[in-house]
Amino acid sequence: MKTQKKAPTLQISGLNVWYGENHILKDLTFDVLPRQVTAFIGPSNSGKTALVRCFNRLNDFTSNFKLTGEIIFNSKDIYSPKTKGSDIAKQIGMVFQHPILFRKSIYENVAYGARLQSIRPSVEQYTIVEECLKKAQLWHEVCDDLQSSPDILSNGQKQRLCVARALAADPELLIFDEPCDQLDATETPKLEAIVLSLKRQYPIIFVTNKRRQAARVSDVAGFLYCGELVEFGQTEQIFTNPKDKRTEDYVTGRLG
Amino acid sequence: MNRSELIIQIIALATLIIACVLVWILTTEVFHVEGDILSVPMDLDSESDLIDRLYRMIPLLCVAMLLSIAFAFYIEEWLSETTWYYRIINQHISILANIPSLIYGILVVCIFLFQVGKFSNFTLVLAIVFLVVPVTIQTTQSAIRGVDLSVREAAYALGANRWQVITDHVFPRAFPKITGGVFTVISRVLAIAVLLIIVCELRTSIIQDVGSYEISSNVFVLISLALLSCVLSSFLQK
Repeated sequence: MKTQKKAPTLQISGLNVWYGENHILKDLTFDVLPRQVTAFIGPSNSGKTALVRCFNRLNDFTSNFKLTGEIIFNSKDIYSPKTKGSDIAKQIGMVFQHPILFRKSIYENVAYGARLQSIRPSVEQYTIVEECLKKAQLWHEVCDDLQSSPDILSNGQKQRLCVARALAADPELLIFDEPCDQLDATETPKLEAIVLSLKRQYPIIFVTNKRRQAARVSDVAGFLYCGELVEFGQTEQIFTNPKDKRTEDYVTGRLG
Repeated sequence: MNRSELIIQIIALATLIIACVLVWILTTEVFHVEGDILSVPMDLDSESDLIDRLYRMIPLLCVAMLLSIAFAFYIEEWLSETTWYYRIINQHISILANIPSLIYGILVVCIFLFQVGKFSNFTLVLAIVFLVVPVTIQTTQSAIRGVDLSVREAAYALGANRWQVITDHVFPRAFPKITGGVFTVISRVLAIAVLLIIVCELRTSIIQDVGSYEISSNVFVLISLALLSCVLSSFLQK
């Protein structure tokens, strides 16, 4: 069997980020590989969210945002002047901390992602919506009220609907930004199961401040502390045999 | 209040004063009607004439409102909040929008009617623009700011461009508040129209009784005090 080295989806080199005077991210360099879940752990205010918002250029809307370094996504420089922010965002799906849904029906919410990819015909759209809802393991719960408002859904279902919407935009990379923060104990395993089932098809970046969740879900993990990438490596190694003292303190619960 | 903000407010006030002086010169010098005030009222001898003109102002009103809504979207969505011109524009709008509509009415009646001697279309247009534009812009701006940032981010993260975010999410969510603002403006304009009609009816009788009419300087003092307090309030509220 041919073993082919996987080309990295994202290559980050020398990334520095400032919000005004605050130096948020300090000289990060790492690769995100396909067919893997890459988790970022760290206490709050360590720059996890700021990091993932660089990838789909959501930081562009933050005032006084400044970035140096390179982010190469599928051999394109994300921050080169020729690249349009919306083109990058189209290829990168994101699920936020809070389930943010549009004031449309459940069907329209998912179809909106497909529509932005200029998929117009309703038959095609319908198959995409069905497929994405199935991937997000929500189809059987909502297939009878696709036309009703998402307000009837529980928080966990809303979050899975957000996953379906991100999938409908046909992304090449998925970002989960602390998706389980607002979820209860029964919904969290469902979302983790979705993440694990999706990692065959999409490279996934998973940000969390729950150490055990990162251990359960991810293949590769990075520990961010005060804007520095303290350690980046296989999840098993980070959790069982950390090289840095701070990482050890964090995974054992003495820090943060 | 820091120094740069104070400077911006002073610049805003100075440009407003210059604009007012220009308008004053335009209305009194350029549109001045020669002759005795009694010889001109033919221009406006019946109440229905004024009402006719006010009706003709309705399309203008609509255009002014639509343009102000579009302008509000432009300054909120395209201009960065930290730039100096954004802050100067905002300062102007808040000063103008803070002035009660009654003062505009009194200005129209006292200055344009008694000084210039007639309601020219120009003065009516000017009054409507001053009445409509700042308030519409301000209410639209606050409606746009009321739209949750997270909704925009969710849409941007899906790959929507600025236009799609505005048309699909920001505008539908801000729409109820924008229409609310539009109705506030309509009520202001109607109130002024009523004032104008009443004054016109009175004016003919005043002129017949007295022959001519001089505005006492007290009126001007009071109006300037009222304007000053509006400006101060808009400064202090920031």
